[in-house]
Amino acid sequence: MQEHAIRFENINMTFRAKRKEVAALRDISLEVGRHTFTSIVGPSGCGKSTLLSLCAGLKFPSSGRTYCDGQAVEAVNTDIGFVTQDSNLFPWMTLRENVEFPLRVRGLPARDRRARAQSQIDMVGLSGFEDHYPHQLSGGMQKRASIIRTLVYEPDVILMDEPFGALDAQTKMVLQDELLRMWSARKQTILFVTHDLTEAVALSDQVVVMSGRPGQIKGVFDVNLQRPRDVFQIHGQEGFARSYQQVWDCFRSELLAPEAPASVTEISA
Amino acid sequence: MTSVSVSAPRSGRRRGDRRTGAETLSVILERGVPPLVTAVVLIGAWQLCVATGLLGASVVSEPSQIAVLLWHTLQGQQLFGASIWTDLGVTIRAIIYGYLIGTAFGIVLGYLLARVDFVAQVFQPYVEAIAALPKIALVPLFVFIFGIGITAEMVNAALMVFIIVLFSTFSGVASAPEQLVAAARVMGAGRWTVTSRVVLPAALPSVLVGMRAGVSFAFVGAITSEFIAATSGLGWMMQQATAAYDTEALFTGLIYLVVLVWLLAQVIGLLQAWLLRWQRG
Repeated sequence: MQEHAIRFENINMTFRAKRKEVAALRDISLEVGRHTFTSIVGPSGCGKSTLLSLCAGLKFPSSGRTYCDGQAVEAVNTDIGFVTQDSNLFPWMTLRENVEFPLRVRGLPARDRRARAQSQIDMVGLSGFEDHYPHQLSGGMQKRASIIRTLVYEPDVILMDEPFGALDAQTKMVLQDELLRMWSARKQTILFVTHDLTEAVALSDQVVVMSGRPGQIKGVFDVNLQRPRDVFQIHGQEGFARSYQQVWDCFRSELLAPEAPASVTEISA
Repeated sequence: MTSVSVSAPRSGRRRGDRRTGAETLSVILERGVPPLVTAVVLIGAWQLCVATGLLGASVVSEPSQIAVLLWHTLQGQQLFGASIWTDLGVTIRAIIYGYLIGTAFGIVLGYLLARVDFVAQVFQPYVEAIAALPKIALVPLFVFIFGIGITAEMVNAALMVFIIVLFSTFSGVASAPEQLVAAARVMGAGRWTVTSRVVLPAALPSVLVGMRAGVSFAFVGAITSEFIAATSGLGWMMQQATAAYDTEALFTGLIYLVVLVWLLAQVIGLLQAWLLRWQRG
């Protein structure tokens, strides 16, 4: 059995903008253990979402390799689940059709599709809304739908890109709580990108702090908080303040640091 | 996992709701009365102008006379040696076949232009040239190739529909959200599924705008073709009426034309509403 679910190996990524070569990611090496919950935090534009795209096989590095389940990622990775910031539900499909979609492309018979989708829909309390189109659902309901559309095909690795970013504070906590319960039941490997340090510490086993462009790993911190955790009372939980402070100290120096000028080099014509 | 704070289904009209008979009647009255009043006033004024000699009956005819002729043609009276039903049959066939052919080709090529680089490189300049060309200039060519008759009309109608549907499909497909395509691919969808279940539905609103505009383009194509070279059809009949200074027949033809184009636009409108039932509002 492979030790790591995801491994980034010496990832460098550059892109061209207006005749300049801009480094987006520099020398990233990171290992994500199986069945762990890992968060990546960093200032906006640091390339943390790009790391998820590399793992999903939607983008590829300029040099270095990404491994998922021991396999180098060289094409779209359909073994993982990817929950994005926008819920990305298909607007022309009902809730049920959306949740059944990944099962349909996997060729499951209609009856199995229906049953598996229904049990997910019931689990997150969306029963009664099966025949609603996405625009008829609230933001929180769309987010739940988007998450169960991923859970329904039972990927072992789930990538989440600021999934709760656009929600109000209460809905966000409720969904964080639901996510933790769900995860403790199935123990998928979750790689979770956020800019919210409290969220990162509250949910994760491990928090990765990235620096601004070019994105580099600044620190990796273990969060030794007892589980199950109560996200509604997380500030009161023993050890939270210490873990938060560790991550914040690392993160803060990044916010105050001047922009690194060495990241941009002119391409000679 | 527990279910938390799920709001009840929102109020408002949903699928399955039905209007009551009284509601339907009031809607019809609300929407139907103002245009009807306008029609009565305008036609009344027209009739009055002719009756008082303000307008010459030989130029604009007389609403009452047009109504009489319309009634007679419905009962089979011939105009210029042909029953109106024959002419209508020719024109309707040319329009419907032309519309269907033009739409089919427009959707397929519009999709390929947007998604397949090779197709775009090969066809783009020609498509732009044909789009810019006034299609009426091609009618003589089609008559040479297909002879005088329904085929030339149909091809002309198809070409006009083709261009508008092609452009609307192209823009719809080109602007299909990349993140939805990416989401589908990560969930395991292959090329065919991405096309049929993501790209085409995303392009559908735009395609239907083109198809709706295409209805009047099909009429323009068929009728202009009949004006120029034909031996039957509604456009041919109106051309004969013009040559014979028969304004009553001309207006009768126009009325049939208006009714026809309205009917077809309604059909496409219903199709649009059904296909886009997932859209807001």
